[in-house]
Amino acid sequence: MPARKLSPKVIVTNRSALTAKYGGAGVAKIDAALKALVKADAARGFATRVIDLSRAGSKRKKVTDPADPAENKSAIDGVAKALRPEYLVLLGSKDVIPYQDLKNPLYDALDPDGDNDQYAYGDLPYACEAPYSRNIKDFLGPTRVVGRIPDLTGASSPGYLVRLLELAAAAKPGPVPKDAFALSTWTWQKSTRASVRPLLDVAPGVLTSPKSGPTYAPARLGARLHFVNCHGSDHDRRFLGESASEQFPTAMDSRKLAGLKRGSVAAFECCYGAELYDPADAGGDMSISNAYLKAGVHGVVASSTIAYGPPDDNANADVICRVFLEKLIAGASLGRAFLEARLTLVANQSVVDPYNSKTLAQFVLLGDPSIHPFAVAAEDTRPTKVALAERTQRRVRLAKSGERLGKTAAYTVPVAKPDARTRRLRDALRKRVHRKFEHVRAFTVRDPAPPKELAKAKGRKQPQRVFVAVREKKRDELVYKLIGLLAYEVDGQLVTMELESR
Amino acid sequence: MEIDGRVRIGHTGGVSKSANRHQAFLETDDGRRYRLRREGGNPMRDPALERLDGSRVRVDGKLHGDLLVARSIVREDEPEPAR
Repeated sequence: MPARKLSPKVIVTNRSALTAKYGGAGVAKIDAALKALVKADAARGFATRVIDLSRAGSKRKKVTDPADPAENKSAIDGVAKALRPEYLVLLGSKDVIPYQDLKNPLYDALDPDGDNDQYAYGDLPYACEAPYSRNIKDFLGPTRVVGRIPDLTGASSPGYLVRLLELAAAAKPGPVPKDAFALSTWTWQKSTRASVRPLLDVAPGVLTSPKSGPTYAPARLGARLHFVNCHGSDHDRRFLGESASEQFPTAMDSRKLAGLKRGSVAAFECCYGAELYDPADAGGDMSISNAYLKAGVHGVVASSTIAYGPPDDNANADVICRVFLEKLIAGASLGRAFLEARLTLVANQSVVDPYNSKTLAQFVLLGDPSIHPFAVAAEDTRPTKVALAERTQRRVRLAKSGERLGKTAAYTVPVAKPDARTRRLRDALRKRVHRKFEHVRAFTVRDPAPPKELAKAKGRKQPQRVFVAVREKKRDELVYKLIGLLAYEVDGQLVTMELESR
Repeated sequence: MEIDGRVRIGHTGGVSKSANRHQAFLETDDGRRYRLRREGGNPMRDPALERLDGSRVRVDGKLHGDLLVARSIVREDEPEPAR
């Protein structure tokens, strides 16, 4: 009888880094849990290999510095090219396999009131074929299905990681959820409703903070689909709400999550949801994302840094989180759902502006990407060979989509020294909006593959410049509102403009 | 570590989801500027830090990048009027 064809899955980790954290005895416990996961994967149709990045391979050098993003990117690319896995798992937190250090296009050293993240840290480059770079524009076409099973940053005991591996080994698809735990700041509820309404047959109710939280009835947290659109902060175990009068009550607390069910999935739009800070730096309390995974939630999509999204509409973080959950409900694995969410974010733009660039870079999947959280009944009745063949075909389709996007997506590049034309446009922009913006940043649009019909058609051109600015609105010397500006210039005319007022 | 400076309430984060118009900063005499947060305090808006706006303080805390998490804050003089 011919051997059953299994989907290749690779788990990469850095054994030297794990040993430095946990010692030989600790790593032995992790090895045992990995062995059990590999065995469980075989029964589920995956041929899983564990690769140690601290040892050289046939087509890659070993990683000598676990903290070096370039070394890790090169090593993981070597593994991906040699083994062509359908699922790629990063095992360990950012002190085992680092987040890649992509430059934040919205960071401006001259603007102290702006976005103070110098980097949009994340795993996006590990999902792309392009070599190491700090520029997001080089990673607009992800092709690989990637997820991270994190241990606790700075931990000295392997118990947390062993638990996550045991949970992954025991993971089974459940029924498609009928309800969701949807939580929003009071101020963003319109945007949150727009995100969750299309997810289920019956639109789930949206809790708002204030007044909800931080404690929730187990029946609420027991929903197997979670969508949270609240404030988050670095080195903090809470998500916060916001009232119309700018009060920020605690909306969620990693100490108060009793009721979370195994087999759930979550998307957090909140800033810093996937920061993966060392709990020792926050009074010993782990983050909400870490707590969710420990409770048995299959996967969490969240942001490593400050995130973006409009208060009343659906864009940026809203899109990547919503599409992730949509694809899961349709039967995708965690990893495929997240890849499709990334591709959708890029494909739906005429130009990947700085806000969407950062969004693409900063959102990560925490969890085993091969887990299918929800069983779509029709697919489960098909023979295994058919299901495996369809998976392979989907990978080819997604890889082609990613490759195409990588080559054709238009992106923006900061203009270091605005020329006379840019300065004229900037002045015209200020005049047009009847406001004064101190730090108007200009970006040039680069389009690798402008549509030929647009190039020929008179009066139909692609955006050529993008302008971004923020201004405070004051009343009695107190800042009560921020006005944001995102403007596109096409052929000398400001043709599209979006004012985001917070 | 201990750092001396003046507390200022300002804004950070641009128009991001967590743009913070009530961000407390500690500004040192040599021009450094840290985001200031009390251990366990509300990271978005802390009335205790807002009351210190303009005050010269000594902060005992831990630094994480540009974030100074204060274990204790001791006021050292009368506050300047808030800007």
